[in-house]
Amino acid sequence: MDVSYKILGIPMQRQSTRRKMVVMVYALLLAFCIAGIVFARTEPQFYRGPLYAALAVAALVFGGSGKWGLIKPFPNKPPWREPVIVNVVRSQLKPMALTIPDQSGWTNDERELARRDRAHYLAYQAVTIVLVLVLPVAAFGLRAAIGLHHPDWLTVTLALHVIYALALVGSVMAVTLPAAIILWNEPDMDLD
Amino acid sequence: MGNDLYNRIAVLRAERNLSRQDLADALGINYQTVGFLERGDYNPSLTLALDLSAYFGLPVEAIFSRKPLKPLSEAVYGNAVLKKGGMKGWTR
Repeated sequence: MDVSYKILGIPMQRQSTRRKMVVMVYALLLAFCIAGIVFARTEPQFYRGPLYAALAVAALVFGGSGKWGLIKPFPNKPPWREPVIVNVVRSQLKPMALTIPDQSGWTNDERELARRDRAHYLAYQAVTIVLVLVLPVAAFGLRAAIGLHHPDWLTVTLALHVIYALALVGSVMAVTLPAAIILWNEPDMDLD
Repeated sequence: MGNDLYNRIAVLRAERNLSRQDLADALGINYQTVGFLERGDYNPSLTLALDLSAYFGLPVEAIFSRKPLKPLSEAVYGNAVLKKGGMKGWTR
C-alpha cells in the first residue's frame, strides 16, 4: 500500500480511516447502482454510470490497476515513467525519449502478494455468488420467453430487470472488491 | 501446533543501528513488511528467512523460533551470570 497517497488530502495509514472511506465509497456506488436499476426501466444504457464510477474508484482511489490509488498495481509491474529527454542540446542529438520503468516503491513484496492473492480469492467467492444467482433467474426468464410453464407474475421483462441488476452489482464488485478487501483488512501502517 | 513464530529481528536491527528502510532495502522488501515481521504479524517465506539469516550473519534458529525467545543477553550470558550468582531472585 502506498501510505503517502492521500484521498482528498486525508492520509490513509489508519485502518479506521480506510474503513470509513471504503464504506463511503460503497454507499456512493450502491446509490449509483440503485439509480441505474431504477433508470433501466426507461434507459437501460444507464448501466454505464455505475460501471464508470466503479472503474474511476478502482483507478484513482482504491488502486491496484495503475499509477494512482492506494494499492500498488496488482500485476506487480511498475508503471512506465514519463519519457525523459536527456542532454539534448549538449550532445547535439535528436531528442531521444528514454523510457525506464520506475521500480521504486511499486513492486509488491511477498507479504503484499500474499495479501493480494487472498483478497482476490475472497472477492471471487462474492462474485461467484452473484453469478450463480443470475443463472436460475435467466432460466425462469427463458421459460417465460418460450412459453413453458412458469409463475404468472414472472415476465420476461421482470427476469431481464433482475438479471440486469445482478449483472450491474456483480460488475461493480468485480472491479472494486479485491482492492477494497485489502484496504479493509490491512492494519495501521507505520511511517518509517 | 499454531502458526506462532517468534523472532529477534527488532533487536538485531537495533543493535546494528539500522532503520526499517535500511533493512527493507537490503532485503528487497517494503519497510512496512519489516514492521509486520518484527511484530509477528507476518511469517516470512523460507527465502526471506534465509535472506535475513545471511544478512545478519546468524543461523536461522538464532533469529526465528517456534517458542518465545529469551532476551539475547540471557541467551548469550545466561548460564555464566547464574553461575556467578548474578541476577538474584531470578527464577526460571
